[in-house]
Amino acid sequence: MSRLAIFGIGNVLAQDDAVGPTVVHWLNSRYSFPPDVIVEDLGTPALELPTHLADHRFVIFIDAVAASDEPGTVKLYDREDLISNAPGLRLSPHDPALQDTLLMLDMAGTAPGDVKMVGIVAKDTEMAIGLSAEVRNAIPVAAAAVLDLAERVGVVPEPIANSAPTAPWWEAA
Amino acid sequence: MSKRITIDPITRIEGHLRIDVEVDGGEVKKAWASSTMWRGIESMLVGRDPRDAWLFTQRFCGVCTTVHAMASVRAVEDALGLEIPPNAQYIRNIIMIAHALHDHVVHFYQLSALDWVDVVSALKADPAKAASIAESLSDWPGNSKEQMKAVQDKVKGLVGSGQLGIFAHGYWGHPAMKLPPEINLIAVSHYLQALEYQRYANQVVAILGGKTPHIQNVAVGGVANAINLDSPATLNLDRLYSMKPLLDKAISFVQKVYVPDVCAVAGLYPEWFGYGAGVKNYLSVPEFPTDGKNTKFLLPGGTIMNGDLSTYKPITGQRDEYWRKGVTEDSTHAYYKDDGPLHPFEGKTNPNFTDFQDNGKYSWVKSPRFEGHPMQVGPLANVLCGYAAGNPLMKKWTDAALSSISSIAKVQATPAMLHSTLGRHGARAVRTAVFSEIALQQWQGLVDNVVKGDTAIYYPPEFPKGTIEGVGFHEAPRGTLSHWVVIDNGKIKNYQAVVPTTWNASPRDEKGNVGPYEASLLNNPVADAEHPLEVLRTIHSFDPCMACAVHVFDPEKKRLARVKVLG
Repeated sequence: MSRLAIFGIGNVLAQDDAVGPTVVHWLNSRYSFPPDVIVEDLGTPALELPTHLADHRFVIFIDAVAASDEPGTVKLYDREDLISNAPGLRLSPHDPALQDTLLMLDMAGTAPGDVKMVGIVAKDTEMAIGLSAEVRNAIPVAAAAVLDLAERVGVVPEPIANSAPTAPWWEAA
Repeated sequence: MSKRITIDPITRIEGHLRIDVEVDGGEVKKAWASSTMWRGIESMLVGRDPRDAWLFTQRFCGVCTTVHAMASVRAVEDALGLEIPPNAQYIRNIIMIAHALHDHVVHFYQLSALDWVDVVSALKADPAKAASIAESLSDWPGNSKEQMKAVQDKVKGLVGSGQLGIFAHGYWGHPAMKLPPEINLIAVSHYLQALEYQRYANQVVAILGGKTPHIQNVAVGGVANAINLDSPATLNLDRLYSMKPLLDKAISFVQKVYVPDVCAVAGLYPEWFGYGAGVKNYLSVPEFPTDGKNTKFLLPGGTIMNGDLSTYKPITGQRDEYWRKGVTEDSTHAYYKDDGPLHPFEGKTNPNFTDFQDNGKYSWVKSPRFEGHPMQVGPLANVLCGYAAGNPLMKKWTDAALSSISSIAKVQATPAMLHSTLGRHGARAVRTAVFSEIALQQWQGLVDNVVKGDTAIYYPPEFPKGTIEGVGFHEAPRGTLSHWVVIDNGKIKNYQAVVPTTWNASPRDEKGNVGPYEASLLNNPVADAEHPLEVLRTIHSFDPCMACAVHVFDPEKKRLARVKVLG
């Protein structure tokens, strides 16, 4: 059972859909997290999502969302937002996998204690590599939102001294 | 009067598959399988370093990740004629086996069982009777009366709250639902247990792969798992032995729960051995190489034509000309220019979108053909080829499953009945059981080889000047996957992935021959056109993965199976 799991979700080959994994890369290259905290790029987990989502006290997802706000807007979603079909709220391309998984784990009794999602409103999600300028500018905002949520459960990562962040592999290769 | 039914999308997981059927007199008379979104990912690889291709290919799709990494490194190694060390082969094999154990269990319980199981009916079950039935099927310890009662109480709580949660999308009370309440209760109980046991197989992939999805440990030339028995940071004996109990638990669930459950469901729906055969030409490739050059394999592959097992013709390896020259893709009815048929090395991906045209272009999926024939791929093809080739493990588990189904259905089940909707489920369970035996054998092989002192994991690739081409295949959970790469002066010049769902979901070809999905739906019963559960049963039995065959983005929140009944 981990204290906190931070998961970036999204297809890194689909433009702004890469923002979840990109924020995870941003965090991991600047901060060192305690050993009982997981910070991972889950990419497109689909059928493997139940494995990753079970048995954590707190889970934070970072994902591209489709909402009517301006591209690059960072939005916070609660567990209820993720499992309900609230009209007007359109979540990520990874629905309904996330909703189904939460409901399944609820039934099995292994659902996380709480779940939040930091959503970044996407602009383009065609198959191509590279974020839109709006979404790229939102990375530090989304990362700050994640760190803020982490702090609420007592997780404050150490900044890495003299960190020299590089581009994630899918942009660098 | 005939009715046209459109189901879009039909997968319970991410994806874009549209099925159109024309129903007349309670039966499907015509069918179209269409993928509604373009993939076009292969063009992203052109000009890249072939050693990086596997990193990108396993991000192709939202469902099958590991398999695209394996096919990709094999394709580049094949182009180079590059051998890999025994440890690398063992490690890759264990990853592929554990991945399949996970995938198949998830498919049955989480993605398709609800086509057959009426959750609400489980409320009427007698938990003691359910426990005694389950105990008669296997000695699995998770079948007690108390456990059955606890699961029933959970379902009762859900139904009482008016929120069926995860089960809200099922077709409860549909006339095609026929299992007794006790069997429904057993199935719901195992649905929940499957969530736990699938994790063990997944953890094995993560131990060797570094993470999953999107493993990090493969490389063109082998694997990147440093082996040193004296170092805590590498693959050492502790880490090797940490996989054993995980494999044991996953194997036990497969043999004592999954296989008996599939046999029970099949035995109680015997009429479904009469539907869904479709294309009875089968294609599979050999898997789990035992030498570094991919020339010897644990399980056979090949082709079977017209459902006649005596026509079995083996495919001996990636270099076998029968395989290498046999594959083409046609785009007559797909949204591409350059209709074809074209060999994958010459394959083109130039979009040419039209509207959905019943007699023209109607899908983003191309039509792969083998020597001009549509082929069904997947566990059924894999098991039938293994059975026809006389593979002892395939024969053992197929015969055991048929005998178990016979005693429940009170009819003599034969291999010929496997050409059907239920046959695909049965074959998937057989294949998983076979893999569960091979898993431990491969694990022991790796341990023995490491203990012997062999720590080699990688032979570095060297790219020649000029053009080389290679094919990497993998008998993946959804069927035969192949990556075809042309490399020019060390850079990728062309890359084509011919994926399992493309074989099965292919539209009509230049000769007008329908693909396996389309053929399998003909003569399927449809009791209630508003709720075409029977169509879902047959399509889900293939384990469709349109996320694999196409791009998956879906900005609108859609119901899992939106059904439109048109005039």
